[in-house]
Amino acid sequence: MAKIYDVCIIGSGAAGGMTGHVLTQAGLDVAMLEAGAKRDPSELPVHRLRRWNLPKRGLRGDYFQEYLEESKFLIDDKKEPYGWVGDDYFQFVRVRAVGGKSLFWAGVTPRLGVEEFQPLDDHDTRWPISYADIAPWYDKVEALIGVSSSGKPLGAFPLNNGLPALNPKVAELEFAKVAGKLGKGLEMIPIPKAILTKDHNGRPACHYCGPCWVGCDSGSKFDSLRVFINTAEKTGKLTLMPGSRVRSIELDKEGRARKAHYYDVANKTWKELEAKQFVMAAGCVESAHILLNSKIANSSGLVGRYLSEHMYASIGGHLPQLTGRAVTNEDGNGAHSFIPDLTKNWRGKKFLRGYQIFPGGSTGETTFAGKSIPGFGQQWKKSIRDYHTAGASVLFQGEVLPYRDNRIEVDEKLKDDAGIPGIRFHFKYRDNEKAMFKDMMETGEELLKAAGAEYFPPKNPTWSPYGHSIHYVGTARMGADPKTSVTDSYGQSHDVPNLFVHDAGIFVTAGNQNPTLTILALAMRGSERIVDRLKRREA
Amino acid sequence: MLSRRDFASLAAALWAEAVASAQQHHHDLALQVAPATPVFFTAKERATLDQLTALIIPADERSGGALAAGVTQYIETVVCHAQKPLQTAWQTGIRPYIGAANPTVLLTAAAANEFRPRTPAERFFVMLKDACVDGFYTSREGITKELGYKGYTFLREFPGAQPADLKPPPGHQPLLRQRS
Repeated sequence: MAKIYDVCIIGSGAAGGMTGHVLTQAGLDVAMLEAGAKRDPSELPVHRLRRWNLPKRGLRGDYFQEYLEESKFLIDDKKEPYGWVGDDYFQFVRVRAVGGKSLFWAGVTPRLGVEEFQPLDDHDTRWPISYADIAPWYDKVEALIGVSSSGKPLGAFPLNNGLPALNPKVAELEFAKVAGKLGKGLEMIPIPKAILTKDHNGRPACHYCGPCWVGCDSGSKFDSLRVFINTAEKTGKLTLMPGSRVRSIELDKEGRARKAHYYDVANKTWKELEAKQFVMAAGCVESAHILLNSKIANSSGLVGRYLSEHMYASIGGHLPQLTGRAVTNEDGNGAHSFIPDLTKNWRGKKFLRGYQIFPGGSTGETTFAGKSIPGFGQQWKKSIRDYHTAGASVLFQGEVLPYRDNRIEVDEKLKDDAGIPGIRFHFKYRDNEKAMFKDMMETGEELLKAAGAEYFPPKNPTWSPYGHSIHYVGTARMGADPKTSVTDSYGQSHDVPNLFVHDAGIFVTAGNQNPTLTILALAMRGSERIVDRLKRREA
Repeated sequence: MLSRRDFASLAAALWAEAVASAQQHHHDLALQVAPATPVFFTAKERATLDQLTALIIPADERSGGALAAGVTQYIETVVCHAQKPLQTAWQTGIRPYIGAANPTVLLTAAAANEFRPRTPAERFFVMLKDACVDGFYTSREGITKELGYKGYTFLREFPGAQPADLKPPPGHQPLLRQRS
């Protein structure tokens, strides 16, 4: 007779890893189905794959995406196609490996604040929990994985439970000097990151080798593989099953989840796995995809709906006070300082919700200033070197409001190489995002001007493609009312009592903050409740 | 961000398409044992491109310039996968320089109006110069030698910058211009 596990977790990224960690620590017998392969951290492309190895050299579309494609960690869109509607291209970045996207994230970990959980407007948003409800889990997650301190609370942005703060970079200080002078109440503080500023729980401090999104060679950046999965495997309670692509969850006659049906990628065969509880942690889009293909847990009709993410926009220039400097290694681990959302100080009736600002720059890997400098030859090259040390940019990350019609739907025509129906994105920014974008550009220009930058107002400014943030949230939103939500605040399905969603699918809004810390906190909270419920039942 | 600039003009859009197509080619090549170098230009055109790219990005004590960085090969790879109009633009653009007694003079004339290019020669110069910047400053030669990039190395700690009243170096003149 086939083994019946206590819990089956689908997905091994931040949410799946945290869930596996909590459940195995509690002694439960856990199976983890992961569609990707288990790859050793030494296979991460960091320090091996460089810009000059890339055929497009990162010059078209997205450097990050091209990099991951070349490193063979991304899904092949030809084998597992997805779609979008008309011109509304959606950049759907899917990492296939044990550890998921946590292997390649930039590590930014702001908490959502009081006003993200209880927005001041009446747009379609009802988190069933408040900041106070989740704060203890933020504390615990931060202590567990190690995050750097954000220094101080600012506006509605809360102080975290952090290790020493990251030190500011020179271009960041130039913006920090002037941010307060715009009359908008802007202030730069250290970015909270899940990148260790000192040794922590057996992991070494960061060695500041550069961009963390190429993967971390020392494990100083949090990733699910090294912090959760490997240690959970050592308990002997975790059965990790890489190369297992889940198609659907089957219910029994009582309406309880009973089996996962999955495709064994290596052997090209279909298999099934039985468990008493199922946790969806494949990432919000893939989890909703599986639920839709299973035709379960959707009495609300909201599975796949309210898909949200962050709008990205940027404006660049050069700071004359930084030209002609000696070249030093000033990459750090990416941005070290940022401006949390303070748009409440001025947004008024312009738009709802807010955005984070990342002003900065450094003597980076490359420069294209040469296109804007007249001439050619030796003197021109010298000028390029001078400007190379002065590159600066202001990057924005804003909340996309949750809209019922921003969604994924199953498209039976888009079958993958195993015959599993794929998904199509229906996604658009609306008036609020357009108004926010306009405000971002204005604020960006104000910051560049105040810092004395040489810059050109963008001729046809536009936001990054839909999906570019890779901060996909929504699709199985939590709530108190089963008619207007898919799960309760612990991620437990309203319809299927032994089915849980632990990834960003249960977010009600994206907030303006990077989602991973909140994913981890909600997954920890939900997992502890699973353990409590099972213990109570046994007692 | 830098990668999102300069896609307004048709040439740039075609160029971008060609870069994307070149990547697909690269993937296909990866399956072969010995990848062939894409061939598009004639020997004369290639030699002329070597000459022109080396005038735009000459070798010096820091680096071997465009020649050492293989900028011609970079351009050829992209143009090889480009659509016909862009391929033709390169072929016709190079023609006046083939066998020219003094290409520097021609280049200088074509560069005179580079931020408001009107003639075919002026437009070709812009296309060539942009391709040189793309090809050189993303190459190992350009990044590590010319720019002297110091990243991807380990630091024991990141000391952080100290607040300071920084000024542009003496004699600094704003140089950046926007193309119309």
